Amino acid sequence: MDVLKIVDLHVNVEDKEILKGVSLTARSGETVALLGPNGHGKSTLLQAIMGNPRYRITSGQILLNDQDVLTMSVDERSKAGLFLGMQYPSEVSGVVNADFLRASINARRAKPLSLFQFYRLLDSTYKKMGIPFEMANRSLNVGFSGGEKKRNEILQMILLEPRFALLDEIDSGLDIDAMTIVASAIREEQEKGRGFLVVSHYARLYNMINLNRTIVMVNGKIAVEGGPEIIQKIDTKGYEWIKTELGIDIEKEEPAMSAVSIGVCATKEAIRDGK
Amino acid sequence: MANNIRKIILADCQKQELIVDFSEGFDGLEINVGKGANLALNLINFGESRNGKIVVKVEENAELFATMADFSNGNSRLDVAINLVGSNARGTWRLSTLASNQDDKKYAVHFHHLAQSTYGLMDNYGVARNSSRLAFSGANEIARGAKKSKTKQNAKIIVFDEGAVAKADPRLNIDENEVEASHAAVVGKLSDDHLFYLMSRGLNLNQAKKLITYGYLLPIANYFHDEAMKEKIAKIIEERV
Ligand SMILES: Nc1ncnc2c1ncn2[C@@H]1O[C@H](COP(=O)(O)OP(=O)(O)OP(=O)(O)O)[C@@H](O)[C@H]1O
Ligand SMILES: [Mg+2]
Repeated sequence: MDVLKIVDLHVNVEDKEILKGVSLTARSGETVALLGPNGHGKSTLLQAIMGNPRYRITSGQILLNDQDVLTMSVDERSKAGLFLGMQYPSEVSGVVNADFLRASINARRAKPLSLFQFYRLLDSTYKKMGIPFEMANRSLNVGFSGGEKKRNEILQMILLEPRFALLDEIDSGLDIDAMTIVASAIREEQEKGRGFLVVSHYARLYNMINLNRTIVMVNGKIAVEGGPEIIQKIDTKGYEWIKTELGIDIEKEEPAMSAVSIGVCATKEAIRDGK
Repeated sequence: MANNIRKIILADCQKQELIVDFSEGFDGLEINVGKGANLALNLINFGESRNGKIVVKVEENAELFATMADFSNGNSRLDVAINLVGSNARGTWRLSTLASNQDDKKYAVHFHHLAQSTYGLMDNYGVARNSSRLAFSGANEIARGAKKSKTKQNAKIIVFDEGAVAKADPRLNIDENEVEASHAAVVGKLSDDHLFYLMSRGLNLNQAKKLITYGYLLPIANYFHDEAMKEKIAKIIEERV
């Protein structure tokens, strides 16, 4: 069994502490749902696991099967079996999808796939994801719609066969049909015993896949851990109950400079956050 | 150099494609595109870098479509002057170049709009590797009286390695009101976000940099008409980056 273990992780973005001690263990064959209000550190956690240099780890550990992930380069993490389906996938002009996918697949193989094997695999995966095959010859994500980008992320996940897939709002921008396609692709990969950490704001996708645990991140920490009932509660009630039931104050995102004078509270929060 | 300039005169209404291979030596070019004529000029250099001067005169209703793929090695300075002398004259200049090792490459491209309703487009793309130097200086001038002219200039250089030095210096010189002019220049490293995205799929830093650079230089091949030449350009870029 594969284990991804995060121990007391602290992460800074541009000198501001975003994650303030996150501990979490994910296992192969298990799916963890990760929810939380906007700006409370969900993407930060996923990006830090994948090794995005913008996110600086100040203390804590990330272990994959007892191997120290923090000493690995980003590509090593990918080859070790971590995959991040991004909230905002980059558009990289000039880099052709098919070339990129082939390079990614071959990067983790001792012997590269033949061109024939590769195209057969690509063709069937495009079909599965309901993406027209012509998209394979377009620049990576350039001019893709929001939903097309997300499908392209799942397509990559299928092709790269990770041990752990970290999916960041993979359902945002998907129409209902695309959501069904993505959910069934995830279920298929779940059956292969992969581990999942799935970030979403809505119950819809969660209801369509198998879930083992639900965690809620607030203020850069895990505030609540439990079962699917938490998702339904958030879906209907939002996050206010965390404050009333658990006594955790939910920090608001800093308002933009142009929109400061909304209210006394917001201003106060901004001042406190700014420190 | 001046005594060896090769001269090309395209008669009125002629349509011509021309490939000039610098690697076989280059002494300069003087070109005249006659009224209503159309010249597709493909310039290549995969060998040793060459200094040179290209001067083009584009007459009324004529068009020049120049494309240069310069993947040569060494030091060079290329001066290009495109003079749009007749009304409705059109000129396009596209460059894709790679400076490697200790190369020192300079390109000075000049558009002169000297008549009404002329059109000029300059696209200079480059990659500076290792400890090379790469400089683009582009100037688009619209003379008084060249009303309704349009001119555009783009310069982009990717600084691939820490030790490379790149400079893009775009200038617009407009002496007439009723015109459209724009320029954009970007000199910088490869995007960290792009590199992270590719690396998160298992490509190492070098592979990621190469894939992005290849995709950045390759589009120049689309402007070459000859299929064999297209393939040759793709192969050279792949070898060099
Ligand atoms: N690259 C970055 N540059 C600057 N600030 C950042 C960056 N990434 C994250 N942050 C800040 O870190 C905080 C946490 O952001 P994060 O993206 O982790 O939130 P999130 O929980 O994923 O929110 P959402 O639900 O809106 O996606 C926010 O205040 C955000 O503005
Ligand atoms: Mg997020």
